[in-house]
Amino acid sequence: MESNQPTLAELIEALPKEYQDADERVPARTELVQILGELAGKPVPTGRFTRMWSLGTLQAKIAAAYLAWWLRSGFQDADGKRRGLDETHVAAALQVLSRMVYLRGAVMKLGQVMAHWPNVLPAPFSEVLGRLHSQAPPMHFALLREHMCRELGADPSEVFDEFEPEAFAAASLGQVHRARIKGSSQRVAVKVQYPDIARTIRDDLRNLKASALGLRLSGDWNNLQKQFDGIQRMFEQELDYEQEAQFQEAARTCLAGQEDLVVPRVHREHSTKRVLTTDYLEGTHLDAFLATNPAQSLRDRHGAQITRASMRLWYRERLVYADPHPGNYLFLPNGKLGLIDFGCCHRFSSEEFEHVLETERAAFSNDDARLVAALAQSCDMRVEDLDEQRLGVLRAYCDWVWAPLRTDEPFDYGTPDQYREGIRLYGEFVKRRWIRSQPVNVWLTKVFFGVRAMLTHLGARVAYGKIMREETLV
Amino acid sequence: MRVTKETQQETRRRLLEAARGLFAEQGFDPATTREVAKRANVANGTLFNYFASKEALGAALILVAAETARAEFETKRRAGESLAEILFAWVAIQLRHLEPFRPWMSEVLDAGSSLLLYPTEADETDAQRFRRMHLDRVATWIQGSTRSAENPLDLHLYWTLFLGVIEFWTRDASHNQEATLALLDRSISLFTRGITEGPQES
Repeated sequence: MESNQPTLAELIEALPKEYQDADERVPARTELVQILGELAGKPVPTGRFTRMWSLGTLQAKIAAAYLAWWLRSGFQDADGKRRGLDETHVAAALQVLSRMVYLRGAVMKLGQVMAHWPNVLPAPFSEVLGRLHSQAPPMHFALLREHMCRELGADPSEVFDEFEPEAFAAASLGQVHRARIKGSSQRVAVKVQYPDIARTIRDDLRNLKASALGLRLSGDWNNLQKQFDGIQRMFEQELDYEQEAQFQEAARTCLAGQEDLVVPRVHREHSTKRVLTTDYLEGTHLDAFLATNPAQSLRDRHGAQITRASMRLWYRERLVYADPHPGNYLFLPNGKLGLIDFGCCHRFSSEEFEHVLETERAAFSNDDARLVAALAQSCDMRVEDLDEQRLGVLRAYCDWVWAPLRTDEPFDYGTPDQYREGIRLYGEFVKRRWIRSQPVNVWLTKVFFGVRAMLTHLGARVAYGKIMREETLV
Repeated sequence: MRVTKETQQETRRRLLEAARGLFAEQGFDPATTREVAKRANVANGTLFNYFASKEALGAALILVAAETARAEFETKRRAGESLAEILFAWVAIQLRHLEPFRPWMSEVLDAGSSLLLYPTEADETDAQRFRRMHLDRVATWIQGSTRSAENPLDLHLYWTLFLGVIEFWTRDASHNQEATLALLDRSISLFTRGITEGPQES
């Protein structure tokens, strides 16, 4: 495993091209390279688990580098004076990152999130992150066993007839083991969270927020804080396996009528805040599925399943399945689709749901004033404050989101250009620092890009609009 | 009247049970040896024939729990375990068995009469047994793992880490003391790397 770890040179090579080609005069770049160099030579002193350290180090390093690049990219068009000021801020941010030893868990998680957004990042960068994610080394069995013993109140051998000591999958902030419940033939997947990682991440987010206070990234500070609080809730929720169990059970009930969609049953008696036991599904993930060179009809079928699952949860359960990345779908041997991770979900509030519906109604109403009002609300702005330039990009972005919905015909997701266009438009917001937004948009954006990334990977043709209309009528 | 060995053992057991209950109900500080003796139905002066102090009572309870933990540890050994895994399980299982005493263990430690630190004459035997039991096993595993001659400094370092973890654990407010598990894992990992790979670069 160790020999497959990327080297520092590979990591730097994998940085976004814009960053590598940055002007040598830019002090932030020099500083970043220095920090990377320093970090390469020493273990992460703050990570709790030595065996996680190499992962944390590499992943955190590259995530920090990307964060710095992202900060820089926001003011490429600024004038010289402004750029100089921002460079100072970036240098300060890098120092903070360095002092905080790259934010430990939070940045590690950030790296994972980035890895799940193919094409948002340049391909080599994304591939390296993906490789890091899949290489999460496991907790040793003695630690895992003691941790489970405290959580479940009994040794794994007393609760399970079989418990595989080697993890078969890395999970967000934990690892997953195959097991069989005592006295039952049912095979289960037992997800165990790394002990103390929840507190570490909370500390990191608190520190990150404190450091961001000094940066004053924009005049929209209050809005940015609201968004940050939303992201913080997203992280905290993902750390709570009891919450995940609730979402999973709600999704299982919601999708019960759809026989080709499978949500594993939760075993509450063997689950806690840190341990989640569910039925084990035998299937393959996206890469292995694609390696079988599946027929177009099968790709389309699975694409439709992914879309329908997302839509039905969205409209019927008001639940956003917000982390639709390849690791969370299983292609089952009988043509069914399994959904296996509900750690990153969001339940719409009545107000949020009404806002989402109103935006959709406005989009299909041919009433431009209504649409502009909905978009302004989405940006947490008044209509009169929404300038033409911003409105133009917003319209283009919405066209991109809604294009597949405007027809009942299958939409071909197999062309990467279509996906890249969405990324380009989203990048416009980042580049122009138009960061003012309703906090719920963090979730919506994850779904828009996550589901489409899956469909693009699959090369599927899906009647997205038809499925949406069927599900809104359900 | 001659007191038989069995009677002595029974009296000692009653005193320990009484102390366990009182410390759990009232806390270590408020409980008195007089109350322990009363609950055990033993004359106050007799208690001191068995335990020199309240702290010695606490230390004896800790020792009993550690011996129970050792029995559990033996049943959980697996083939092919690394030194780090063995040491982690060795300590972690003990901490779990010592959990009922966690609220007041640090007070016993601070009192300076702890079997872990400075055993008094009265509980010296218990203390020596505890340390010998603990460190003899550790020394065996270290020797088996490193194939080198025993280095007394290794055990000294180990004992320091062990006491550090104990001290952290007594104040650990995290869920199920998971922060202690993480700290223990890190400490054991540092220790085993140190003795198998030599000094680490800082």
